[in-house]
Amino acid sequence: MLEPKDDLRHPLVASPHARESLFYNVLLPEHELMVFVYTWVNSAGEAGHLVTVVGQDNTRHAVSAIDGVPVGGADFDDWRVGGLRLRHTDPMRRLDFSFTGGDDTDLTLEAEFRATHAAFDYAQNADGCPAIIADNRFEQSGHLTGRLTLGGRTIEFDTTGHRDHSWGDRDWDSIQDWKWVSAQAGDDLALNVMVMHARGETTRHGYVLADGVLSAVRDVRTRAEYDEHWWQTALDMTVCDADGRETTLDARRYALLAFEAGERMALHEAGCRGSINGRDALVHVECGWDRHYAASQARRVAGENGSAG
Amino acid sequence: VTATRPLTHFTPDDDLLHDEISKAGPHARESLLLTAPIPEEQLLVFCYLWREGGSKWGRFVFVGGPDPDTPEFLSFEGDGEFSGESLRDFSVSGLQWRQPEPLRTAAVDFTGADGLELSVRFEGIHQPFSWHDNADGCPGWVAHNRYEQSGLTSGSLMLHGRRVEFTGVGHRDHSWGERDWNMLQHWKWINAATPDGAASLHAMIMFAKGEILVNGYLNRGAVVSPVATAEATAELDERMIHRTVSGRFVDEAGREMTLEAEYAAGWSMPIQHLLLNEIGMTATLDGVPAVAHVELGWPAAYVRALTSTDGEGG
Repeated sequence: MLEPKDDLRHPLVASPHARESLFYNVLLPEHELMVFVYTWVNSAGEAGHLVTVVGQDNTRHAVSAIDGVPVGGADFDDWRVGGLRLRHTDPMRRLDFSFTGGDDTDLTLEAEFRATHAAFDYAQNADGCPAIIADNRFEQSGHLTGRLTLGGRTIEFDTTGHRDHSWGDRDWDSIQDWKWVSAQAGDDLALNVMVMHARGETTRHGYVLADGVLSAVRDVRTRAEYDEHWWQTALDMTVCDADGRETTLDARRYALLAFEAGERMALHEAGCRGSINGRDALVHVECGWDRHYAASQARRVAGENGSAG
Repeated sequence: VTATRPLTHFTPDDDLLHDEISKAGPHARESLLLTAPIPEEQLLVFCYLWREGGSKWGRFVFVGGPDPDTPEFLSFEGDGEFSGESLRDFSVSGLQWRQPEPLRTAAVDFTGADGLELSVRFEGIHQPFSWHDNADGCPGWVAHNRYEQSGLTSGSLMLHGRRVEFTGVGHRDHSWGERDWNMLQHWKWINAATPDGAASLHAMIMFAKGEILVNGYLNRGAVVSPVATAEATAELDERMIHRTVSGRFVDEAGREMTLEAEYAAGWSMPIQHLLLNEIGMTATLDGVPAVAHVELGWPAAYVRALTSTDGEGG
C-alpha cells in the first residue's frame, strides 16, 4: 500500500544496481515535440538527470545529461540536480518541476502535475514488481499545465501527462526486452502497461483507469511496427484488466528518443498520437532491447526496404 | 487419430526434399530431427540432419546424460556426405535415415567410430501437424512449412560398453524453407507424451520481436487439435539449465493439458550465437506419467551476462 512518504526517497542497499528514479513526460504532438525528464540517485547519494526535448527520428532540440552529483540527504520534496528542480508539494497528488538550461542548453521548462487518480504500484499486479527492476515502483497519470521555451519560442501547454517513481535494484542486463506504455485520453481514461521478458518468462504490469475505476492489468497483447533503425513506428495493444474489461490502444509515432542503459540495453522512447477505445490519446511507447538484437533487426528491416526498392 | 477440424494434409512427398522451397535463398535449408528421451536411463538420444543452400549437408548425433556440460556421446559433421536416392532411404556421413511408411515411421541407425551403436525406430501416433494450423502460423523466418509428430520409440544403443534397450515416446520434425535464427530472442520447444501414446503435446513458445508466438497441438482421446494458448515456466539452475518445467496448454477445442517435467538427461548445445539446452525429462501430462523433451533456446551472450553476474551484489 502506497503512502505519502513514497513520494520521497527510500533506503537503498549498497549494490551496483541500486537506484531510485523519477520520470515525467510532456507530449506535444501539435508541435512535434516530446519532453523527457528523468532523474535518479544511487545508494551513495550520487544523482543525475536526463532532460531532453526531442522531435522525430532522435532529433534532440535540447539535451542536458549529468551524473555523479552529490546530493547528500536532499529529498524529493525539493530536489535539485543541475538545472532541474522538482517539488512534491502535495504528496501523491501534486508536484511541479522546472528546468533552466545553462549556456549549452537553450531550454527552460515549468510544469505542474495534478494526479487524476491514485498512484498505482506494480506490487498490486498479479506478477508483482519483479526484483530485477525495483523493490517497487508506482505509475500515475495526471493533468499537466506549464510552458516550455526552446530556441526563443515559448509554448504554453494544458494537457495530460505521466510520471513514475521506482526504487531498488535495476538490473537492466537481466531483461530480454520490454514495452512500457503510458497513455491518456483526457483526465478520465488512461493506462500504463509494462510487458517484460526476462529469463524466458513474461510478466505484465500496470493499470487501466476507465469509468472511474482503476484496475490492475492482467493480460496484454501487443503488435508493433518498426523502421529501419528498429525504432517503433506504431503499436496496437489490447489490455485485459482485473475487472474483466478489455481496453484497446493504437499509437503512431511523431517523436523518438534513443539512448543506452546498462551494458546491453537500448531504450527507444516514442511520443505518439493515438487513441484509447477510439478516443484521441497521447501515448508514450518505450521499447527496451538488447542492443545486438535491435541492431540485427535494424539490418534486416533496412535490407528488406532496400530490396523492395 | 482424428482432428477437431480439417488440418493441413501432408502428402508422402512431404517426407522428401522440397527443392523448390529449400534449395535457394539466403537462409535456405531443410532439416529432419528425431528425439528419443530415455529418462529411466538418464539418457537423451538426439539425431539431427540438414541441408543448407541446396547442397551442403550436415548432421549430428548426441546422447545426453546427467551432466548437461558433457554429452555421453557427440558426433558432428558440418560438411557431410549425402548418399541415397531420396529422403525415403538415405544417409549423411554415416547417419542412416529411412522413412518406410510415409508420414508415419522412421528408422535411424548410426555407428560412430568412437563408440556408439544406435538404432531407433519411430512410429507416429498421429498425422504430422503443420504450424500453419495455429493462429500465429508458421513465420517465414522459421520455415516455409514444417511438420511435427509425436511417436512411439524403440531401439537400442551400445555406448562405452553399456547396452541399453528401450521403448518409449519421442518426437520428430521436418522443416523446409528459410531459417533465420537471428529473429529469436528465446524459445521453449516442448514435446511430451504418455508411454501408450494416448496423450501427447507439442508446443513452441517463441519470443521474437518483443512478442510471443505460440504453435503446437494437443493430442488426447485420439483427437488432435491446434494449441490456442500456451503458458510455460521453467526453473533454471545457476547456469540457466532448466531443471523443471511446468506448463498449461489449451487447444482450439477448449481442452486443457498440464505438463510437469523434471530434468533427467541432456546437453547444452552451442549453435552459432545461441545455446540450445536440450533436456530429456521425466514428466506427467494431466498427472499421468509421461516423457518429455524440452529445448530452451537462449542467446549465448545473454546467458553469459546473467551467469557471470549472478550472486553479485546480492
